[in-house]
Amino acid sequence: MLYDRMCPGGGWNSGNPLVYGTAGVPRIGPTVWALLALKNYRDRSENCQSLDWLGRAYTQIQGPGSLALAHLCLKVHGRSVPALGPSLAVLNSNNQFLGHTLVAAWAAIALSGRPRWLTTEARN
Amino acid sequence: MSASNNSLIPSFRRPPSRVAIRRTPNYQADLTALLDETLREFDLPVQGRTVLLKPNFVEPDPQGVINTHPAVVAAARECFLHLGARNVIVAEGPGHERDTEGILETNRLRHHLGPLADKFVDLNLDDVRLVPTRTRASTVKELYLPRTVLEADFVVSMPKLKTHHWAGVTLSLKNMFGIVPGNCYGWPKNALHWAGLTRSILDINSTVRPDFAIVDGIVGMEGNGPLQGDAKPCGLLVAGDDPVAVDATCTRIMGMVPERIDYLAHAGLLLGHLKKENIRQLGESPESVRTSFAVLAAFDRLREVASKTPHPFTPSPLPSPQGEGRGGRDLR
Repeated sequence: MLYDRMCPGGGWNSGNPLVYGTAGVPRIGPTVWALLALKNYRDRSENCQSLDWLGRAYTQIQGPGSLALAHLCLKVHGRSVPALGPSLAVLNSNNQFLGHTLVAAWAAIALSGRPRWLTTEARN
Repeated sequence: MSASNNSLIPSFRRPPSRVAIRRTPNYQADLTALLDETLREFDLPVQGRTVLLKPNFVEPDPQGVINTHPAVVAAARECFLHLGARNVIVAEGPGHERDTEGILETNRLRHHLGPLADKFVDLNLDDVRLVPTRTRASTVKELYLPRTVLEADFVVSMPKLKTHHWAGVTLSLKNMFGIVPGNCYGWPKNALHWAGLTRSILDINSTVRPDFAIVDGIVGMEGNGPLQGDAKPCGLLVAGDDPVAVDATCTRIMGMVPERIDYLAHAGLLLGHLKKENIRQLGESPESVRTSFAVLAAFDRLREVASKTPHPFTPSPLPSPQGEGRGGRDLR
């Protein structure tokens, strides 16, 4: 069912993959949650496409919440990413994460490395 | 709470409304001066009060077609401070994206307003209070609403001038969907769509009726709005103290008939004026700035047809919300 909702070319959004014939644009958050939920299916092409999209989108991320989540997801799936700390420090200096506890929590989890509870287990 | 929240008034008892239409070439023009002159025509009761500006920030929008332009938001903020407001807060609850700060940075709001920590409130994460809806049009009898909205003295809806692939148009009334917190109603706010889009728009706006509306029509959106349509440069700002009249005027500017848009037709009964004869236009006339917006084929019926015959005011029956007949949903 999750794969049914994937946007053409990879990634997920919180709406529909197609709207009146126009492909939906994937977003960081939904893509991360879907990929983490599907982490045991690493060999599926949809996972690879979506991780490729996430890797390309990573350099354009301007929000700390999305950055932390994307970093976490790419690391869980064994993709290389730049160090997170300096980027988050810059974003925090802009707006102090708007005081969001949730964003701070995501940042803390992402900075903690690769949490065991998210470790990928290969499944055929 | 907003001063106009007690104003569920039948249109035949409501005094005429005023809507101002101003031309401006682009976002680099002196929008502060233009809005300042416009707002002073309305004698707004904001002296010493807290003003809440509610723009439409939906998704990251580097092209500036989806979201209310930050230059318009910044100009409005400055104007309300000039008018003596004690505090002016920008607040939004983006419906599709949890990373609000990502939207604000992509939209360059900080570039126009400076550091946002003390100027912006994410309504999706605000403290909430359960409030009975005033019209009870939908299956949602009560709404969790953000404290920041309920405590504001003066609420300004600041939408983008756009078509909408379900509602027909999205203007100052539909923009108020963004005050409903995602923490309670999800991303997107499907619970309200299931309760009936038209009915939910009525319930939200009857409960928190905007005191004023400023529509960013400098560059609007046509076609498959509100996200995937095409840029429609119009060079306009539209403002007024009756959000229904503002939306009716904008709809006419877009080449459509407001009486044919379900939520507007029903809003015109109790929330504000829809008919031309009850709206006094300031600045430009809708006819002089009208520009036909492309719409999806299903909405062709909303277009104005050149006719000498007056359109009868006949609101269509409200569509049944999806929840009815299937056990409904307890949205509390």
